[in-house]
Amino acid sequence: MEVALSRQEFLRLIDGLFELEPGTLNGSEEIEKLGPLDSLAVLGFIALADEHCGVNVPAAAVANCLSVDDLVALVGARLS
Amino acid sequence: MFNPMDLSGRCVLVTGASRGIGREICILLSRLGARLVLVSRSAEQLSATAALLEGTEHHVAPFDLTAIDEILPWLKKLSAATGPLHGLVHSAGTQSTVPLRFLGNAKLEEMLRLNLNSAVALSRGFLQKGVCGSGGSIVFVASVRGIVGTRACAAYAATKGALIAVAKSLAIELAPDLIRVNCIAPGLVRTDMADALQQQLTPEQFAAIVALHPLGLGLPADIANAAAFLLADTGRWITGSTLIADGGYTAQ
Repeated sequence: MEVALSRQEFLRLIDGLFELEPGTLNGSEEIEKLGPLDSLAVLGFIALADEHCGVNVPAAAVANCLSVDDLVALVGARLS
Repeated sequence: MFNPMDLSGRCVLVTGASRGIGREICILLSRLGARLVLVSRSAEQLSATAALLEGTEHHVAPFDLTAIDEILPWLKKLSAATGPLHGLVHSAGTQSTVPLRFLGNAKLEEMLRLNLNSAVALSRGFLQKGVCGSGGSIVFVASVRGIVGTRACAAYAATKGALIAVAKSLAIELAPDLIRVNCIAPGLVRTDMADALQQQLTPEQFAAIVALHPLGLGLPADIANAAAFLLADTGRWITGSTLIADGGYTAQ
């Protein structure tokens, strides 16, 4: 049985999504200020959520996120 | 009435038979008189497919095709129960839209395993003594993604493009055995897989994909018709080819 990711581990994945140094994000950041979440980045987040958390996140849900915490919330139930 | 696609007396194994294109292929082939061997992981879903078939003596054979090393002995044992196979359709597969920056080797290998490696193992298994009857027809369900490029589809394209290449080589290698090997390359077909893709895209992105199909999106029956054509005597002189069934997507 796979061990669920922690919130911190998932935040590290989101660091990678925005090409930031690991440990940069804490969740409170506004996505708009991090740079545009273009269509490839949205697909990238969907792939991360699926591969690491087993969650199928619709693209529309990602597009509605305003903060990094909103992104984390999309998979929150699957984090340890 | 003469039916050039009559498959009476022939036994065809179809993978991915529990839903979508694979299920529709099974239904059509049964209507053309074939005996079917239905394969996927889910016995329950296979039974649901079997209930939709015409005719009798169909065989439900749940199996995990990612167990590559077990495919040959499984197929040998299966054909002892079903009788020799005359056709093999590999419709099982997995699709994932992953931009290159996030495409890890594990995901690539996972897709290669089910989409490509199992197809090669099934073909090898089909060749075993007693498994296939005199001659035979192998059909791989590939994709237009294996022919034209699309963003975030490198892994899927690799698996489907490889199927097209494998079919060409196997067609030459197996011609002396009178075994034909062909691919079908569907465009976007209305299935669960297409629904999953739609969820991954914005409405505008999905609409753009639909607009690229001059005849609109396909139906599973469109691909089933192509499979039947290749399996039956209508495909007698066709091997190493890819039948593109895409509503005009690749014509542009």
